[in-house]
Amino acid sequence: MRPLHSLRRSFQDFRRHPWLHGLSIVTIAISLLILGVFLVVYRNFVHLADHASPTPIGTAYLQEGLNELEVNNLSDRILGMEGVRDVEFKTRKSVLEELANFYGDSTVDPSGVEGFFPNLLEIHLRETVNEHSLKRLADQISSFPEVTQVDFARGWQAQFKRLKNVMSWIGLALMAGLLLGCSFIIANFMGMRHQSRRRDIEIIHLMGASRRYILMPFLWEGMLEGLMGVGVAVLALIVLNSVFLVPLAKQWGGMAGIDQFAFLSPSQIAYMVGTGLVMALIGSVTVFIRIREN
Amino acid sequence: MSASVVRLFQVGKRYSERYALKNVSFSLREGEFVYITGVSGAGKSTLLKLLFAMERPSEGQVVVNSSDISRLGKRALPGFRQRVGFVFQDFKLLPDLTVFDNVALPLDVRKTSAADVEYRVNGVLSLVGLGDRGNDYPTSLSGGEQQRVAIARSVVSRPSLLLADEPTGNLDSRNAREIMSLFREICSMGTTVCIATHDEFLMNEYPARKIELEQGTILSDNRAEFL
Ligand SMILES: Nc1ncnc2c1ncn2[C@@H]1O[C@H](COP(=O)(O)OP(=O)(O)OP(=O)(O)O)[C@@H](O)[C@H]1O
Ligand SMILES: [Mg+2]
Repeated sequence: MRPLHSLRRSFQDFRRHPWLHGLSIVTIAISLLILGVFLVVYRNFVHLADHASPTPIGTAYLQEGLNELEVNNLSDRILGMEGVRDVEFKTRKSVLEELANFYGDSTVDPSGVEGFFPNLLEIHLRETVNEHSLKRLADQISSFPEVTQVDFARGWQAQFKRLKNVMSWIGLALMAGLLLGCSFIIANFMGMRHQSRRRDIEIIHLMGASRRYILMPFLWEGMLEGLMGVGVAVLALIVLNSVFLVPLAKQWGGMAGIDQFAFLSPSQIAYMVGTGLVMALIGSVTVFIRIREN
Repeated sequence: MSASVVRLFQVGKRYSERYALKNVSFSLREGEFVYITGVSGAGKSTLLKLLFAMERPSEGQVVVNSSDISRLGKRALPGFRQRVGFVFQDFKLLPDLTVFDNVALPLDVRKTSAADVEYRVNGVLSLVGLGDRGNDYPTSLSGGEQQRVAIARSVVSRPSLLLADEPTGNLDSRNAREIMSLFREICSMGTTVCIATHDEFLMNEYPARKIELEQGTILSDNRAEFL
């Protein structure tokens, strides 16, 4: 067999039906673009969360009427515990001031709500602290008589984890949906091309061609379309990134403590390539089934 | 003497109620040269289609290269076709392939090496007088030239049986003669050649066994003269 003869036959078909091939490529590109945007958002979501909270912070709310000595004593005991990096005493006044700063001066009147806010200790933990030791730490600290309540922001972390899970599922569902929809559309384009090549295929069949020989070009076409679709989608994402995300990060990134948004990781790009190829190949395989029917 | 390449036994071919062929029996030996003749509609093309497994017999038995056409499965069909050449009445060339690639098709489907393809395709193209047209597309050729491409394609894989449906129909007498001597040459190398034609002139010039059909049945077969 002459080298890559079937590949050459595929290229000939690209020249013969530029519109049909173009539509397939655009279909793949658009759906991969949607997938890619989602992947970029997901990646930045994870990044942002990591940035916003490099280590967990806990809060121990204190009994009323503790003196300075008792507070210092408590601070030392907590500081001596495993996994604790720093302890900072905050009076209700300073907490209220922070709040007022955050919301804008007018909305909160410190004198009015002062009674609801106890003094507290802000507990900064080491990065190595895991879920399990966090719970032990919280139990230990809340058993101290000077402490009324301990809050280790676990709720927030759990929330984040849940959100991350939900996003993963959305990602998978999105991929599955796009995969199905796209494959269906591509299969139809392929079917149209198969139809238009019917006479040719019949002749090749009369020359003693096997099914494999007849179908190979369709497989090649699927792969080429998939790769081109991925290429277009990634290029579009790069353009979108430099037009929207880079300026956005310059303007607003500072607030979240980052100076640029993350783009697709290599493994995410590989993921897109894979998805694109699978889309196109599923499309090609339907031609196999069509030919079997004849 | 030698084994039969083609054997038909009481073959009938019906299209709906009408018989295109009825009660046809004959056999062809290896290396035999035979004309199938008869008026238009007599059943010549139908007979060739049966021999190429493009149609299945409605009755009787057709055996080609020891394959029973009625029992030929889909998987066996490519292998069967690779051993039989066919020159179609309407040529059946692929318009998007060059003359060279059209002729190379029967070799390509058999995974012949590139060097072999090059050698054999160029060989048959010069044999049919189109040695310098390999890079042209069929649509740029005259009817006769297209016919010669179809002939080149049918013999390039050196089939054991060559079937030709009106292969000289579009040729002037000079080209027709050349094609006929080409068929003779192929035949002398051991290929069984079976030509459907109603060109009396050619049949007289190149005498050979002649099976004459009339309304689907064999009217005459001068087999005895050529034993
Ligand atoms: N696919 C078909 N469906 C119905 N009838 C057919 C079909 N093919 C051939 N026939 C009929 O069978 C008969 C023989 O046709 P065939 O094509 O074999 O004739 P022929 O001898 O090749 O004629 P010609 O010299 O004109 O090519 C004709 O009456 C034709 O109408
Ligand atoms: Mg005919």
